[in-house]
Amino acid sequence: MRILIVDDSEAYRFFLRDMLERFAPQPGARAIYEAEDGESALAVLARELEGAGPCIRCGVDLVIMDLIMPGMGGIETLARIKADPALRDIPVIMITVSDDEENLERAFAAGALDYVKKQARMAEMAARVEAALRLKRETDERKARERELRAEKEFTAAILEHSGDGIAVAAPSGEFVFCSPGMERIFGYPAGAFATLDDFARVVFPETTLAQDVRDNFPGGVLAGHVWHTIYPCLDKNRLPRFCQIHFSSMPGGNLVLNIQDVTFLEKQKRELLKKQSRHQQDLDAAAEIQQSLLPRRVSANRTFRFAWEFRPCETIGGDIFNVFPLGADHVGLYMLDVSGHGVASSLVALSVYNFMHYQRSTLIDRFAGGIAVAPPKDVLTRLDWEFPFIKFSRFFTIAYMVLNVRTGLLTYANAGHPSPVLLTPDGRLHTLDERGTIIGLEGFAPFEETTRTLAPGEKVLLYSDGLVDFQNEEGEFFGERRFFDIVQSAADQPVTGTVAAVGRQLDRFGGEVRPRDDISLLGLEYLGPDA
Amino acid sequence: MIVVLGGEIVMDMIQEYKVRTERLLSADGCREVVADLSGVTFMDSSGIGFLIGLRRRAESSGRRFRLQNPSPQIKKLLDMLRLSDFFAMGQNREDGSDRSA
Repeated sequence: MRILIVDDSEAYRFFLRDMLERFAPQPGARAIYEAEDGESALAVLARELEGAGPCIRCGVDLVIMDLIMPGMGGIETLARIKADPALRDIPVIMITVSDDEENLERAFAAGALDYVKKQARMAEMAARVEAALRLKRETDERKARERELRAEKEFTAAILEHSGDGIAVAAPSGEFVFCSPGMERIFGYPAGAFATLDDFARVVFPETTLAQDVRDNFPGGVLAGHVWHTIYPCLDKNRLPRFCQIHFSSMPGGNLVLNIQDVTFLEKQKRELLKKQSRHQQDLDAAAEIQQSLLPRRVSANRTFRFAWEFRPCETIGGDIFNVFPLGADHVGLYMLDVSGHGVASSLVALSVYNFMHYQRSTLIDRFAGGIAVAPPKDVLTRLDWEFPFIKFSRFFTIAYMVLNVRTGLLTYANAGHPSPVLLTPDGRLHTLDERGTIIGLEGFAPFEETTRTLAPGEKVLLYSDGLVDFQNEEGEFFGERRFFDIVQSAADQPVTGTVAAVGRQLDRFGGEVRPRDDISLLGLEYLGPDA
Repeated sequence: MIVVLGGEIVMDMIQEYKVRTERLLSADGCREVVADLSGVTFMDSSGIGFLIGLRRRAESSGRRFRLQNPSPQIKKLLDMLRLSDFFAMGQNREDGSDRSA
């Protein structure tokens, strides 16, 4: 510690220095300065203060000063020290020659801590010095603690001041005991605008259950550590709608902390997105309706054939489409196609193919001078292959196309990558028509072939898309080919309407409420025999 | 160059796959592009479309294209669509000359 001796007598200064060093707790623990009058004493004090900074001990720790000195005397110097905020904590011990009561009184009035007589015994003097130094140490430490506390408090206040969140604390009675400046930033109301949580809830959150939620979550007092959070719509001071996420947490003392975050931007974005999504879904549903309106009548029959179908659109609209149509007087045509992918783009391609497959178009009918002829199925597939190259839409499709001569029962079919059609006899025998070429869109990569079969009256052909056998229920189980075949075989003796409806019933039972990931299509045609 | 594909090649993944393979193809001057399907567990029709597009992209820049190591399920799918020849799988799959990674 640093001690300044102020005395005009060099001999006495020497004596004191010797004494202080001798009684030091360890050698070198004390730095001793000397001054011969008041002016130079103040100069030393000022010099020692420089560069000291706000540390625990700064500058000189103790002044031992003669009361009577030439020039600026002890009392005057002491008054200057005590008048300076940077120096006033330094304890000062005055030295007197004798009991000069009047001067001593003045010295104590000016702020002296203690006094010693010039001829005092060494032990007494050392004890007084030690006591003064201890006092200085304690003062320094207390001041340092106070500084730390103040800094900590300022830091916390700065966090609350600059945090974007609002923090409010409500007592168990519902009264606010604290509101951070962030509250004002979010809502525009000055701090202290609301006395209670109920007031706050009523004005800022008028259309919410905030106040009730707090009561519900804290029935009969607060559970420490209980936390929950909710997003509430609210109105700021300008009555503009905002959204806040409030994180509630309870403190051990029973107070409730509300950590309020302005989530207006995020919430609006989310709502906008949901609105878009719902609009998007409406579009998809409308498109799916159009897709279904293109399908042929549900069941139809004339004297030579009848047909029926089942269709389950996938949730995002798919690329399945099928049709049955007369081709001249003696033929009926039917096809089923499945465009790769799903969604609006795939369904547009399906619609485009649907138009191209119109029964009066040159896709399906060859006209020549003598009249018209039904185009062979393999030629139809070849035409599609060149009309819908993969590069055009970055999509391919599979299609099975069949032409039935209703006079003879001759069935001619060609298949481009589609699941094999099924031939079903009334006694329950089942054949798959496996002859098949590659998909549509490879621009003549491989020529398409066609095959013929002659249907007997009562025999049926079934076209289906892979969505049927790939349909998965909630348990992840596939509908599967085996199940499909079993159903149609056990309903083989019924009219095709019954056979197809049996599959529809089993689909509903199997899938429940599950919307398929891909369109499910099944089309059945039954040959009734030549028109008698 | 061997492009090793993995996981599910389904509609939602296609755009990302397209970007990645396009980057590979434009950076590489090789003569042949091989798509290795050994890690592919599932493929939908969009996935098939992606492979067709990849073959087109390779051949338009004068490179050969083929597939290798499809799992039995993927092979069945390609067979059903009669695409095994299109993707030149037949002569390359089991001759042991694959440089698969």
